[in-house]
Amino acid sequence: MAQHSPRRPRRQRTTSGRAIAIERAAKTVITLGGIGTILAVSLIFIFLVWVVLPLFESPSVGEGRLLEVEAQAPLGIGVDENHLLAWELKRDGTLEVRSLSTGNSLERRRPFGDLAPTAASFSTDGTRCVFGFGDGTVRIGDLAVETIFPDPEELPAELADLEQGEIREQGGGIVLRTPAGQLRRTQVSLSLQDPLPTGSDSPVVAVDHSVAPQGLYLVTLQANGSLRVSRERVKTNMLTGEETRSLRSSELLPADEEQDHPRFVGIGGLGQHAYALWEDGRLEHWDISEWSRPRVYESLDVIEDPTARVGAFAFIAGKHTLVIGDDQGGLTSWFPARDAEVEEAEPLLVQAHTFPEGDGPVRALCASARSRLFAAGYESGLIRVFQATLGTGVAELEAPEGARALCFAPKEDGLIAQGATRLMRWEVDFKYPEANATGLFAKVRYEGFREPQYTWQSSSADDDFEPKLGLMPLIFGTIKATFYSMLFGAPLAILAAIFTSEFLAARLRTSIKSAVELMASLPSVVLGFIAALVIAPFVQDVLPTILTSFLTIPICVLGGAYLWQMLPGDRAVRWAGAPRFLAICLTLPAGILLAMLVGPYVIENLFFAGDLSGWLSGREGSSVGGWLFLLLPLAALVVAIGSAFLVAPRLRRRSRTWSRAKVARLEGFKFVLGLAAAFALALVAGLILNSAGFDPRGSLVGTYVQRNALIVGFAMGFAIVPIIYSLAEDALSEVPVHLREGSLGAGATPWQTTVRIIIPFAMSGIFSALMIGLGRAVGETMIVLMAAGNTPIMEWNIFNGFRTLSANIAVEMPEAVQGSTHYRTLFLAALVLFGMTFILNTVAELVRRHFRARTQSL
Amino acid sequence: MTEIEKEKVILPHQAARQGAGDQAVTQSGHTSAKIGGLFEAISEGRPFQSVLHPELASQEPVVEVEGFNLWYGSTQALHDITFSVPKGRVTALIGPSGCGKSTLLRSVNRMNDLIDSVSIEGSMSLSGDPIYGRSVDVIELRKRIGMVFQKPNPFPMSIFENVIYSLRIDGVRDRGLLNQVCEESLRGAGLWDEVKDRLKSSALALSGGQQQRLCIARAIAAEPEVLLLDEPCSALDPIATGKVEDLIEDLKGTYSVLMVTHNMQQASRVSDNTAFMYLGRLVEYGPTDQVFLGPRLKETEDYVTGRFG
Repeated sequence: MAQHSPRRPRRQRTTSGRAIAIERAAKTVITLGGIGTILAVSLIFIFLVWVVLPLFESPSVGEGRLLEVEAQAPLGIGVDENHLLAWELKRDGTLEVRSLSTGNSLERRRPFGDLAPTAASFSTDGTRCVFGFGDGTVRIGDLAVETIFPDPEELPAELADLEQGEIREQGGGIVLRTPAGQLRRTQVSLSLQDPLPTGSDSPVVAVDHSVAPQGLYLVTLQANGSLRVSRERVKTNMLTGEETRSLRSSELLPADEEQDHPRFVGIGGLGQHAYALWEDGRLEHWDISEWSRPRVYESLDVIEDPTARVGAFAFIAGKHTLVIGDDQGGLTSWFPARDAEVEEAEPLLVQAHTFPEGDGPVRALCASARSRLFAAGYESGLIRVFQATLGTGVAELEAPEGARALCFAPKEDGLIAQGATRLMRWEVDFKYPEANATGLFAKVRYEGFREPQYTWQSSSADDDFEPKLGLMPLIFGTIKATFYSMLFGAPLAILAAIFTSEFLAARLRTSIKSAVELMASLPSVVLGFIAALVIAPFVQDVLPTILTSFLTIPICVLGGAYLWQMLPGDRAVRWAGAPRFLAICLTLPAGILLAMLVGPYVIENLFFAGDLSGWLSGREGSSVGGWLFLLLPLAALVVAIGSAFLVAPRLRRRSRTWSRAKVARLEGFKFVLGLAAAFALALVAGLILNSAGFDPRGSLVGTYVQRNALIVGFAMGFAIVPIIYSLAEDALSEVPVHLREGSLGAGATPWQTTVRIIIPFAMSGIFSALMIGLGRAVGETMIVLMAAGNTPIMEWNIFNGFRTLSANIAVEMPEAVQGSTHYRTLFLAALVLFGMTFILNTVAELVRRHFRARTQSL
Repeated sequence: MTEIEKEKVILPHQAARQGAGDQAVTQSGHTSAKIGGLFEAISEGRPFQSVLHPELASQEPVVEVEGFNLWYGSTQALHDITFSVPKGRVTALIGPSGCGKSTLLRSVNRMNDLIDSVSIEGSMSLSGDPIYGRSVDVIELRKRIGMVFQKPNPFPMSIFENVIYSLRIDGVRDRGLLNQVCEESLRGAGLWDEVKDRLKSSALALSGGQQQRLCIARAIAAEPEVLLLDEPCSALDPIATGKVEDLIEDLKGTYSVLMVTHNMQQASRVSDNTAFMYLGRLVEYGPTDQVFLGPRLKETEDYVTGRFG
């Protein structure tokens, strides 16, 4: 051991407390940070799952409560939104209001005097109702459960001590003290207009109505078999303000005592369709859009079993879908739909769903006003609740003596059923019946579509609208956006990275790299904005040029390379620096110029019948030009490979002793010949495909929409280029220099070195770069939001728009009601997005490790 | 350019052609008078002339270097180097670290082109063709020169693909020819028996010594006019070193080899000629036995016997 000089103190052999403290602190902070990050990501995931999970919960049905009442099959029943009282319109014309908590009768009145209605029709979603009478007249009225705040002084004194939340029966209604301390009375009101003649004095046996913006539409069936549609006309006296109402009718079926009369009648939608349903299952369907001149659409049999008899008929909210129940327990739903394939097709009925068979005759049907739920009551006492869009059973209830009438609570949080002697009520939480795995991810036969399909249409201006929550179009849109932007961005970024790392002088490398990375700092909203407002209209204007430039630019670049080799003498070598770079830069404008010259005139006229957008949208012009255009890159590839394997070895043997200039001329000639061969090949393939009847329009290309996948490809390509570029460049630069030197030292060109050594070695890094770019493209929101048109359609057509999961969340989240199906479905979309990126990243990591393992030992 | 750089030196091949062998002797006698003064003179940048043994003049050169200067940015790394690599022999470059041996070696196949800031002056030629020059296609030039690096650098591909790399990049697809070249080169590199059963397996699975011999096989598969070895054994253990040295011995006569080494024994064992460099200058260059046993300069003797430094 060396002797210590007296001045220098011996080195301390223990670690100082300070160093240990710092070490521990660092370890703790880093551990916490790491765990915190993992925790944060997990929490996001857990939160998403937590919001989404209720979508798949099954409904909870509360205990059924029985109220003993005197009841018969009523004309109609109803309940208020707080489940305080229920009303019943009896066949004898009495309107009875009962307390739902005690079953006590609160009020009993005869609004029609001595008369009893012979038929009644109630709106599911409003207060309007129509009553038919034995003298052939109808009365239009409004029946509503109303809430009033009576003057406390008018109320009896005993109500003064009512506690908060306590209820008391009083004055034909129920009084409740609200949390704010006020007294509130819930009561039933019915106002009636004067009787209107239908044009026949035979008793009205069935009536249905529909409220349209133009007025009220009615369909009435009379005892003599006369079936009429009528429209309410209101005339206002300009001086007195008095309104006179009348009905204008036209007859669908004439009075005929001999024939069977329909059992049910209905008026669909906003008064465009009229239906009459016979007991044996015959259904007549009329077009009454021109109500004064109705015509028959069709007549069909809606019950397969010839012995079965129709037992119940109802409309789903919106009055487009019909539900028909028979006495064998069968239950089917139908709606009118046009055949999209046929021009001016008539909206004929299609059977949407056949619901599971019940255990006895269907006696009562009732639709919810808020959603596509409907309930079917069977004679056995079984009550089933179904979701009409998906055709799924949602809940099952048991009413001991069968249901004569059913009614959903207005907030869809309960159901009441009236039997022979009892009124039953249930509190039910139906949860989210319109969302299940089928509804979200599979094809669904939505109202108005002849075939099941993937559709996303979450909301509309119309209340009766059926929400379509198929996520597939959004997933498809995300994939489409990613595919097209990677198609543009990835090759550009990778080639740029190769260029900077392998071909560019080192002193320029850093500044070029920083400049490209600066692209990433451009906010994507700016990119989207520019894409939507500048690029999109521009591209639309010069579409033929843009498309042609996809061919002319590569041709010019390659042609330039061959021409460069043909430079006389040793200039090709001597000018390898700046002059060559300049020449390369010139090929781009040359390609664009060529495209501008050729595109709008030659190409458009020759291949696309003189009008590219017309060619794209219509079926006009032959598909040969399109095929030629699409197949040219493929044909070029085939020719290139063919030439590399068949022609090149022979030429190489022959040209071994040739001079450089001679070889360059030969190669140039080969290029021109190859180009011609590729054109010919594409043309022949196009002709064959065309004569075989294949047309690219409708699949890869099609009608041009201004904001489309091409534009998004440009803009998002621009957004992902810096990311992929930067990471790929790092990966390429990290290839050990001794490998590069080894290859160059063996006489390989920089390109051969890149392709054979550098890229295989840097593969894991390049792959990561691509995957991170892909992840960015999958999750990118603003660009697609602004430039993609946001139409949730599923087609690969590059010239059409799409809607991505992320853009959809951004667009719809602000308008989604918290806790609603729509809201939770948007969270599900987020979860799907999360899952997609998660899977992508995992696959990327696995592949990266695979590549890495291959090169690790260096 | 400084005064010293402009100083004219005698070019070895000129000397050889003139048959003025004694000229070198006079030079050496002249400078060796001052012990230790030579290194001082070099480090101070004073004019200095290389000592070139006349025996070299009779050997046919494959690489000729004339007045070669090289700068990394503003730092001069090679000063006025003039020497030639004889055909079919092994020439060793020795000298302390940082003396420019590797730089000189890498200048022969223009590997220094990869470094941005390098500038050169003077000339080099390969079998009479210029190496530097605006109309020289560096790719074509490198096809004529094989190079083996300090650290074994097999490519991440199979042994077979590694060996025939130069043929692959030339577009040779003839399977028979490729197999033949692979076997010949591996035999030439003394590796055939060890790897003949696993030609398709990854080259990275080989041991360090095997990898280095594979690199030599790869280099000789291209039938180079000159083979550059940059400290080929420095990363190897003694046994592997022995094998590579034996291999270099075998290559002698068939190939012209220029190698850089830090190992005096290696230089003395395998090389025919040895050049001693110091601080970017060629100090003494002559037949190996003369340089090791009877150097003209005291400084060379100090270095080869380990008394230097």
